[in-house]
Amino acid sequence: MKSYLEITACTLFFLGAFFLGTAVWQFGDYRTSKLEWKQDLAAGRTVKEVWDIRNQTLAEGMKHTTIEQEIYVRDGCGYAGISVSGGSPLGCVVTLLRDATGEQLYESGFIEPGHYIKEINLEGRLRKGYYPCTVVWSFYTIEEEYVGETASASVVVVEN
Amino acid sequence: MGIKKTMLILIICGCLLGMSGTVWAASSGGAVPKENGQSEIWAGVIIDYMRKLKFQVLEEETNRPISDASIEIYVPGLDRFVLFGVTSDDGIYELEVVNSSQSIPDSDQFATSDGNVTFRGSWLRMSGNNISYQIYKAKWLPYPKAGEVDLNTLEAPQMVTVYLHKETGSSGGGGGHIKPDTSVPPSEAYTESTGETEPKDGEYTGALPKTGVGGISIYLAAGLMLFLFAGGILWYLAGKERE
Repeated sequence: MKSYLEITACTLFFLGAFFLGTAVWQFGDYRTSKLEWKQDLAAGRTVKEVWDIRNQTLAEGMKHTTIEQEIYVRDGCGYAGISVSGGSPLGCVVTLLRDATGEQLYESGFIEPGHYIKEINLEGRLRKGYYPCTVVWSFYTIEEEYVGETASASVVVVEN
Repeated sequence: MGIKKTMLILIICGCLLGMSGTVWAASSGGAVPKENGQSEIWAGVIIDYMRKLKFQVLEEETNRPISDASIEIYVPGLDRFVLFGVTSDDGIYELEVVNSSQSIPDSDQFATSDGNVTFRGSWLRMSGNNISYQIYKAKWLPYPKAGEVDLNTLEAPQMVTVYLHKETGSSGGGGGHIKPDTSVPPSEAYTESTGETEPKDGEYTGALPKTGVGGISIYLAAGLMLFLFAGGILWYLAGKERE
């Protein structure tokens, strides 16, 4: 009985230490972050308020990006015109998801501010037709700290 | 094994595990190296596949626009709501959405293999023109205001008007600001009511994703709870030993 209790106490203690260690790390990360909303969270602002600030940061980041709303694809390759303007404080990774099935049609690498991708090659092959898609923008700071994600709508038009 | 010895071992192991938690947490995230695209450009035929959808967020009592309210739309491919934008000073956010109603039949969108329809995704949703949304802002209720809109009207751009009211005890606009009433009266705007959820005042529905914000308190609470339990057991055992 006694040994069982000791083992239980040990397990709980280990788990508790693990969680506390994670919390301490996250707090340190938020406090030293260059993102305003993370610093605010560390300073004690509510999650709802901080979430608003984060969303405004992301919406601002979206203003610096472009993508074709109609991506015409021929032989698996299409002009997408993905760009992040030089004035953007954030870089991003772009993912193109097909709405009907959830399948990923394309994922870019990290696009730094001032860079662009003109043409994209779709993963797999689609039949002729048009496919409603969602473009997911995952934003990162220049130091590659994850900020959050936003989305926009596009349509992929397969011409042959 | 004596209780003192057990406690000493626990403290040492706990410190080591705490450090391992730190390392585990630090290992997540990061970005992918840049890939370069090709440079050839060709022109496509311009067909209007998109249509505009306009969200207007107003204060319930005064019809004043609410700025900086977050607009999230359900993304089937991710199975969650994702931020599309925030309202401007006039309480409006306008976005382009795909007009699926003019789409080719679903059966023509999927490759066939031996007569069977196949696709590489994990699930299949036949095209509808239904969009689920949620709108929220700190210190405003409901939090979030959720609803659905059908893109089947001839209105262009289609307008969805959403009303929020101030949280009890809230003094301001939750970090934003309210503009003078220069908006379209609610009677003239299209108000979507189908599928809306109306949480009670002050109730947090928990529908918002937690990614990136607010993980600290959960870990802290869990850690302290577990420590308390462990401490309780050790205290009990120490008492027994003394007896």
